[in-house]
Amino acid sequence: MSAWLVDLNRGILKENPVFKLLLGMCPVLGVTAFAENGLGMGIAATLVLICSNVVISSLRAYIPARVRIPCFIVVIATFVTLVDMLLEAFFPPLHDQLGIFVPLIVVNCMILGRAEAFASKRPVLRSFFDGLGVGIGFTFALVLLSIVREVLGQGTLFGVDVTGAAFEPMLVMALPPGAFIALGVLLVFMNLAFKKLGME
Amino acid sequence: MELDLQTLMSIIFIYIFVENFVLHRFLGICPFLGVSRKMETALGMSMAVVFVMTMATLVAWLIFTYVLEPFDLMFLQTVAFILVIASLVQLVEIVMRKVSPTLYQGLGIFLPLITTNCAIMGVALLAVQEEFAFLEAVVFAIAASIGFCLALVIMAGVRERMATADLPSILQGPVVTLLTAGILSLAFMGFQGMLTL
Amino acid sequence: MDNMGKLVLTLALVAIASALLLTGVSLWTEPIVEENIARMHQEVLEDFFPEMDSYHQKTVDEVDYDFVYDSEEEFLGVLALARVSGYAGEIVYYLAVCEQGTVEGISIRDHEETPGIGDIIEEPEFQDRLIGKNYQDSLEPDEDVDTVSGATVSTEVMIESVGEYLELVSDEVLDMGREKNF
Repeated sequence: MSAWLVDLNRGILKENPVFKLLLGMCPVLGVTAFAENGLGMGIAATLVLICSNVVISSLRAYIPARVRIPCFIVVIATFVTLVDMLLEAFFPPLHDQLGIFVPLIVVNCMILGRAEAFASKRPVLRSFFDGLGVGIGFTFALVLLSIVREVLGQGTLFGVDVTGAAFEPMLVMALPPGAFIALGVLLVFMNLAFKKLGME
Repeated sequence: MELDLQTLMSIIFIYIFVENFVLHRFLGICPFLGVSRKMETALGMSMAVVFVMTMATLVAWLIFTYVLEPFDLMFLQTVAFILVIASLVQLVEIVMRKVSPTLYQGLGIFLPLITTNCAIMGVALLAVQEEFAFLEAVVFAIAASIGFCLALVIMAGVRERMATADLPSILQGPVVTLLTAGILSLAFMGFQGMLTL
Repeated sequence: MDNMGKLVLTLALVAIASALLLTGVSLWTEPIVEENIARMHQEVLEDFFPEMDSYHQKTVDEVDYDFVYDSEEEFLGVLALARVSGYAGEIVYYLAVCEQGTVEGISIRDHEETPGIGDIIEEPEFQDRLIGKNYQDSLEPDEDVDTVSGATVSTEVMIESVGEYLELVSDEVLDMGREKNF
């Protein structure tokens, strides 16, 4: 399998940042009350991840090892701010919903982790796919959790009523405790799934 | 917001209990899940967090109020704040290594980890967003960090007990921690609506 | 020294590049953001005052008002930007009061109330209870205007807030609008 395909796939399942590595948990719990928000956050974080991976990879020959962490941080923070500004201008409702979690993408250990472990040592194209893979894995986790929380907690999916009048939503799912519990339960199923797929 | 004792007391109560940063706002989850296995480490991390969070909020507030705002550079907030936090952590590490090597040994790995603690960044951002005055911002940071400690210490206490329990392997580790956190969060919901600013 | 210089230089260059990029994008997006806010504001005004032709903004006693006029410069009413501490956070809403001091409409701009419970303050089901109330009416929660069971705090807070803002609007502000006394 060609290198870039491996890079892409790795982040989606085998080294899924949320289900396997337990990174970037704050937004996972914080924005997953509604599927729309989970998807939006996933895309935003993926964009930041791809851009910062690409830039850091391009500059890797020029950044001395001793200042690399601050440099990475500045690069990541720059793209986070860019995404934040673009969201505020072109997708105001999503921007309001995601709130403080957009600037918090900068401390998402997943992004700094990829920069340090991969992008700073590999060529640009591979870094691009690595970022894309991890981003997709992250988005996948976010969307999965938010689908569970929205359907159970509100009876809707992406704002569309999918359960009908007879279903009394489990409000707790939309609230903080529900986030913890839903993720815990989801993790159990994911672990079972990984076991079945032989990916422990 | 008027600066008076009542506001400050409210801030303390609200941000430790009503809007606990971990259990209600979902900030600082990574260390909350990762460092809560033993009481010792939980306490060590807590101390470091209280210190860094308060100092970081203080410095970030000053930079926002006297540099970013007057020059209309608010969009540089994210970059500026994260650099403040990263530098502060570096500074704390260097100072601690010289001043108290034993403490440094104890806190060792936690210090660099604190840089990516979203609670610290989150608190700094919120202190500025809520338009607190300087003293209020400091009290806010202290309260938030104490709230973080509270959640962390409770979780560590529970996990230490659970370590002796016989759990099926599928539930061990992060799963039971998350479920416990859910119950804790539910308990803390009892504080909701009690007090607002 | 040379090594240290290189470190600082690299970091400085990255920081400067970042600052330039962000400044550029900010200059581009800031007007768009302002436009969005203005547009929403405009929509709310048009919603509650369909005959609106022009409006004048003024802050009275720390409350921001839009004094609304039709094409014949007749005073139609005011739109106040209201804030109140809700159950879970601050609620920011527009309160439209017609020229006679009666509530025309409410539009919630921001809130953090519990989704599925407290957010009933956004629904006509609740808001209709306040529409048509005059500033001279008493607005006691549960006596004059019913709260919503299960969302008692959120709805009570809104009722009290509307009552307070109506009192603020009262004769003084309405006269200001009628006489265009700015």
